[in-house]
Amino acid sequence: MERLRKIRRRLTLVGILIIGVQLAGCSFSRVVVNDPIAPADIAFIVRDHTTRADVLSRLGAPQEITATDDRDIFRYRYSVQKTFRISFGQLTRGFVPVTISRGRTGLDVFEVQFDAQGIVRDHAFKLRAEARRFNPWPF
Amino acid sequence: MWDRCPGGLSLLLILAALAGCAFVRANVGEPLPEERIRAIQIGATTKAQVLEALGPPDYVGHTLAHELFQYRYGDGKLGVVLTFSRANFKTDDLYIFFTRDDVVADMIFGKRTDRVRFQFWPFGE
Repeated sequence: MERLRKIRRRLTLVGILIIGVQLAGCSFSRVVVNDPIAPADIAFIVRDHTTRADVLSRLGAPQEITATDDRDIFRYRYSVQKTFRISFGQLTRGFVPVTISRGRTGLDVFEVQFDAQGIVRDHAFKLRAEARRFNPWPF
Repeated sequence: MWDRCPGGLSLLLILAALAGCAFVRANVGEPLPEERIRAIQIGATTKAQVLEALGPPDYVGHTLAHELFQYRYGDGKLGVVLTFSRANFKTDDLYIFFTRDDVVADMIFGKRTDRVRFQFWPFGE
């Protein structure tokens, strides 16, 4: 009986919270493209030693393959877009029909370069995807 | 106070919350035909046979030693619950490398679309 009472109390709180957020006119959205690659995932790569086959077996197919004059390049991309919107019109029942919103996109790019023999000669990492925060202020 | 709260109120609140749900799916391109991809033989299949089996590629490029065809298929799933939403999008990527004689020299196939999930919670991972 006590357990049922606790469950009921929690469900009611969750319901009130969700409806409260909705009535407040806020919305949060997130768009995630591809899989994240963490620095630990690429720790196995050793310059002048690791092969193309090693990279493919651990990280899978890249999102892009290009080449320069003397290198083949694999690029892995992961992006996250976070958008936070506040509708004052909804909040004030149309009295202040203003909405502010801001979307911010962060992109992780891991690039690895191979020589003609398929040996890793260089690699670089840009980590920005998770650095973005929800922020509605557009100015 | 909670004892006096009618049992149906909790359910009513949750149902009211669920009334704002949406689930949307979007695809880019056609799924890559895995049976036809498996039939491609390195050192034997020609460019003409690849084109016949898979159609024109989405992108044609070059690496140091080979011409490159890239085929891509994307799958996205969006979940919306009230004011929270999340979209997940992943791609399947197929790269086919050709020799100067237009024979398949190598192939890379990455399948990720089978791991796209419907989610709505925008926070955390």
